Amino acid sequence: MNKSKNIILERLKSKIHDSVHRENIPLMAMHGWTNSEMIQMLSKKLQLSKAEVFSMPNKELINWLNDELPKRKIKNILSGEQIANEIAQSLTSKTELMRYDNSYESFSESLFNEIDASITKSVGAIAHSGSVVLQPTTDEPRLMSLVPNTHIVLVDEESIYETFGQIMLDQNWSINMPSNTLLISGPSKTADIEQVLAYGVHGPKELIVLILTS
Amino acid sequence: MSQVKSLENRVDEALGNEQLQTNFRSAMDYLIEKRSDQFPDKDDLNNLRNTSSSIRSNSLSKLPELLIMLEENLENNNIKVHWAETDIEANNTIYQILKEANAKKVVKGKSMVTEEIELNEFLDSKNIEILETDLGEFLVQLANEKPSHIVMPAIHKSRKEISKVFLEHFPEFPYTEDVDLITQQARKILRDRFREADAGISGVNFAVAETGTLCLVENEGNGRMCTTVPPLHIAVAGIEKVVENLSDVPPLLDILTKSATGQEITTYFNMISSPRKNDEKDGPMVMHVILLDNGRSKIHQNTEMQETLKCIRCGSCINHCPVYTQLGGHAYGTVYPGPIGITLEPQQKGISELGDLTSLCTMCGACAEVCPVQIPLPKLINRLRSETVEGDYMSQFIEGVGSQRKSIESIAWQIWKHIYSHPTLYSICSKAITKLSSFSPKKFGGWSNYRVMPKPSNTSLKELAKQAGFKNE
Repeated sequence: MNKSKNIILERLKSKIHDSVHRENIPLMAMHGWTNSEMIQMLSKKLQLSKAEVFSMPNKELINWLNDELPKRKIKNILSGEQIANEIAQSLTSKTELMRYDNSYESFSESLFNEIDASITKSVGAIAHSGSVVLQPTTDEPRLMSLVPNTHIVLVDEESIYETFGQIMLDQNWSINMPSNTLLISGPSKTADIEQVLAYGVHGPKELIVLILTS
Repeated sequence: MSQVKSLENRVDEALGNEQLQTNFRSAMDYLIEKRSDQFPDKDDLNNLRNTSSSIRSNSLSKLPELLIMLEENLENNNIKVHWAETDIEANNTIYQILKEANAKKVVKGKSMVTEEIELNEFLDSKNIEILETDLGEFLVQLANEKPSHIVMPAIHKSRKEISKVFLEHFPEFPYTEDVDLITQQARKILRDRFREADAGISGVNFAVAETGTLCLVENEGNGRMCTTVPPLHIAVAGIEKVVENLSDVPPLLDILTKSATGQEITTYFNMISSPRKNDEKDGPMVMHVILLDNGRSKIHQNTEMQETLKCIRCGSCINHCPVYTQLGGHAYGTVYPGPIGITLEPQQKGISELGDLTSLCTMCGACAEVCPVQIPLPKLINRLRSETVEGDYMSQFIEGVGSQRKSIESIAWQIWKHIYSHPTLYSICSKAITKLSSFSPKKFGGWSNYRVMPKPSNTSLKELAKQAGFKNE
């Protein structure tokens, strides 16, 4: 194996290249949007991608869940411990709170066949492209945002950035990238058949973004 | 790819298929318009192109160092790295990994580089089941065909054809031409396959050297399934995919999705930096990356042609190519069609085998105008076109330089050169042609088989100018 590595590297090194001046990367290309403008832009872009967006004070979250989940025929919802601690007490009996307690292998059957929805946090959102940013953890593993039909994601209004470059820089990603980082910008979709848009091909059929204000 | 029919036959066949041309024309118009809507401001577009182009040039100028840095950081992240000089080596390495893991069922996310090494055929021959999971690729695989476009693989198929293929393979589902219903059927079928799979294989859009991160762009979520659900993930990346810093990613992602499908951003941008850690509950237990050369390091040695490697596979050059729109992807007989295909493939596989592809270009320049990383495609195609018939300047980089030279064509051009450099001879010849114009043949092969052959005028332009009172020159 090292033989191929050496051959490839030797060939690449045989040509001396002039160094290239990289253009200024517009990490900080900012419009100077206010927080409410960013919420507006984020919502608009997400809605264009067929995500649903609601903005509400933090304390209203539980009421929203108790109203909306039964309406949407969501009988159970998967959450991590942190969110569960906040909502378990007040969630009505109409919705069962499910937990990703064990490894995927022992949870796979429930995850794919029983869970209606999941609720996760986010590390922020990007107004410019209409994306929520997730960095899955032990508490909220990777597949929570992929397998259930409905994915509800919470965004703290203070964590909305204008651009992808900004959130990356501000949160120092280059120093310590977690196992998985995801930009999610709508429900799963495809246009592979005659360019007709169809939603919910492999991932969630619904993406609901709740922007929480203080 | 085996080429049963000659390029000329394939082109003839494509040009005779009106339905195909209508399908491609409308699909390309749709993609062109969507892209254009994403770039309302020309200055913004130019800035983004300049930035993206310089990021890619920077990667190529430091390629060996960046690959070493990438390997180091991937290994630090517990991702095993393998180097493959050829397609055969890459396939064997993947097979060995699968064999050691006792993997029999594999799911794959859309990846052109695995098409390039013909991984599906190879694993089939080893009795390993490999299933495409991107909807378009899945449909193409069911129909036992090849993708006809690098971004939209099933673009050549109508929904009727797709419905029929579906019914043939999955008679348990009712026949439907409703795109939503077909999509839901595919979801049901493939979700089980993701769970049953022993391994997932993917490509890579960007590999970040600084952090050892693999980035994948997609809309469907099948890529995330393939790289998260099975216990083993193998990613295949061309060596040119490396970028130096994480901060190189946002501009490239921005211009990639806008150029490819006219989307502000795709549904998912998946950045993977590690397999499942001890305290994590999901994700693959083991990850491998294959760094594939397959001709790239040779292209890299040639200063002029090296720009080919800047490509980020958006397919925009293909969407804007008038030749591709007329022919569709299959007529090329290669993995990569369109302008990037006729530039890359002859360099990888040699001019003896694929030099004639360079004729599939009208030199209109549309590809270079839209290329997000400013690859001067017509210039590169023109250079390759000339290398097919003359010179040995590039023989150290490309196989078969000059191999398509035909003596009769060469003699004809020699005579042409002689006549045009001798005024008296030129004058005699042009007079003879105008006087004898009525004897000119109605057909002269090639182009004239399909078009009316132009007849030389009875009076030459020079004579007309003289009659109109213009003095010589």
